[in-house]
Amino acid sequence: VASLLGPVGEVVLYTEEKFEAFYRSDYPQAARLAYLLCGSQMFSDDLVQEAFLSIEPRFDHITNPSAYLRTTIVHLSASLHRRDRRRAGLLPRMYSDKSLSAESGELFDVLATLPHGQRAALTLRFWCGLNVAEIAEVLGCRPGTVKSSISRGLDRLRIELKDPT
Amino acid sequence: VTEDRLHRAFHEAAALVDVEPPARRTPPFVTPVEQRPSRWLLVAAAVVVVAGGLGVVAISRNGGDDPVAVSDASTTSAGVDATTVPVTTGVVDDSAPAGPLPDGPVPNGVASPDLGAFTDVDQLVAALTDSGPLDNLTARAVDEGFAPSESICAALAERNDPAAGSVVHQAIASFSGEHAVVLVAISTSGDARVSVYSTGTADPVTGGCRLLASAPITAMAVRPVQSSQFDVDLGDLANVAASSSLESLFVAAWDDPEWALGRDSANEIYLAGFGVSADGTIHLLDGVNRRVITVTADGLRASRAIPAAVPSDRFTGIAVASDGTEYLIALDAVIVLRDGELVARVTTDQFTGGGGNVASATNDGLWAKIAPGWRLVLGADGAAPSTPQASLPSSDPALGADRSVQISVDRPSAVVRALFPDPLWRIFTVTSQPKLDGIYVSTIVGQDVVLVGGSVEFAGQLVIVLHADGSYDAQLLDVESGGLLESDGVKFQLVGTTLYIETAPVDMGVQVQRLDLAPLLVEP
Repeated sequence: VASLLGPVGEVVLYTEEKFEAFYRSDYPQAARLAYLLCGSQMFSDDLVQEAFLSIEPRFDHITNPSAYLRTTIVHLSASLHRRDRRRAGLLPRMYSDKSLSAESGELFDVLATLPHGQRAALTLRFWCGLNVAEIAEVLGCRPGTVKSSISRGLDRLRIELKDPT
Repeated sequence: VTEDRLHRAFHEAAALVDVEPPARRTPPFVTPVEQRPSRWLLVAAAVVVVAGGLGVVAISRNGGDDPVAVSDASTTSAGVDATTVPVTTGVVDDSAPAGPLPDGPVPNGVASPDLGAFTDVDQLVAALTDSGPLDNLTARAVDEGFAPSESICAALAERNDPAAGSVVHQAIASFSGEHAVVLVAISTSGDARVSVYSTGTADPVTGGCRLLASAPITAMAVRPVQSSQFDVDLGDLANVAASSSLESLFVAAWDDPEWALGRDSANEIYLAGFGVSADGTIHLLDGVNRRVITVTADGLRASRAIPAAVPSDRFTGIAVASDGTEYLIALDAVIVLRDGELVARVTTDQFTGGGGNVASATNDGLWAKIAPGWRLVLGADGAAPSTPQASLPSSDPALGADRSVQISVDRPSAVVRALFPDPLWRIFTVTSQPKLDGIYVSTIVGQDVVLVGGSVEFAGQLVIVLHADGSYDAQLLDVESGGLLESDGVKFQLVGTTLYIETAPVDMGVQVQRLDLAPLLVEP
């Protein structure tokens, strides 16, 4: 296909091939984001696959698949969070399946106790590097909500970690 | 310190994640696709061959008055979105010989006579007003973070047409029954440039960039525009004087039986939103109790249930037109109510972020904030608008922000560009400590630019009025944002010269305040 189409080959790959290429290129970032949001490799692997599955049928209609994938992962992690919230004692053990340093482990212990909206806002801000407007778009809320989520999340971390402000 | 720890912890944890893609999970109950060249592939191959034979023409004004040919453009791909553009032209040549493209540049061809109208810059610019102001500043603004949402077509064009430079905007235009994709780019010389790509198939386009266009037909520089630039230093935001004119209209306590405001703390559902009609009537959407509470300017309160015919939608916002028509925004639908009566319920996924910042209403209908500006997406009667691509022709304070004011906060200073009818851009570079990075209202009122917002690093909210001579007035709004609900925030709505502010502190309830901006405006 590529040799036939030369310089425009990328444009007309089969949908299946395009999606496979998208899967391979975006999987690493998706896996990292999913893990940071749900705190468990087992859950995050499943979540990422579910995200790609949900995108595939509408892949041709999505203008920015990477952004769409990111939003899907955040929303799926919110659903996971709601489900797991009902299982007492699960969340505090999040992130425990990785060999983190003591400093990071302590931080993730606190992060795991935050409401999902705050945790997602902090992750999108400090891991993905999104600005307030972009986070608002991903979370489906107003920028003011993002600001308060970040502010309150950081406050909680500062208090729990006894960090100087 | 905490932010640094977050950075470090995220990177440390992310580095531990296994990022090798496993075999992709396939959806259940899907019939395997027959492995044969797709229709799209045949179309693409045919267009490539045709394009190779015809070539393309690229014309630019290199700072002079006379158009000159500047380059042979590479074969370029672009596509259109079938949801907005019917594609009616083009030929599919199934007999096109297969084989690699010849090396070297594609020879010049003849510009499509069907798109001859595009050869005149003024005509082109006039015809593309729907896509926003087309000028050097708009194109250059991408550097400052004004870039409209990236499109696949633009990305493809950038890859395949080096002469186009950096594509910053894509528009669809229709002339004499023909359709074209128009890309606005910053050329390699730094000037704004418009390139026009014809569509190339009779088949409907299913989205993205599936079809190739035999393009570019032509490309040209866009004339520069007049602008005046000002530096505005707000200083330390903590030192901005608090407004003494902020007036509390009412407080509806959560547990006040007279209001009986619904909240579902377990699911973080509180007041879904508020809107204000031209007569000052405030509309509160109590999504939990499925009703709209109105409070007139005289303080008269009424409550109306959402009609039973409306399914139990999860409401996220409300937009109110000047005439009082209510648009209730749900997760996947919009409900139009007039005088409490159901006008229409329209399924749509145009609004993903609630009503406050992504939707607004005028008497024409409901508008959605879709890059690069606001688009009318629903008529006042609930029907699809006759001109779905229409954008606001001018500034409309009812929409809070519109295409006549652009805000960029991605640089060390916030940049505000406001287009006045002269036409003249006023560009304000606003510095402050901390930097403004959350502007909720930005609009032109008379000869002034009104901004409302603040900074993620600053608890307060401000109203800032930028004047035509570069001076400004700023006031700190005494609204409590530190104690806001996680799922709700400060909401603003500007009606005429009155700013309405709704807050929902956790331990209080819903409060609506009002500020008359007239004393701050040069020409209210």
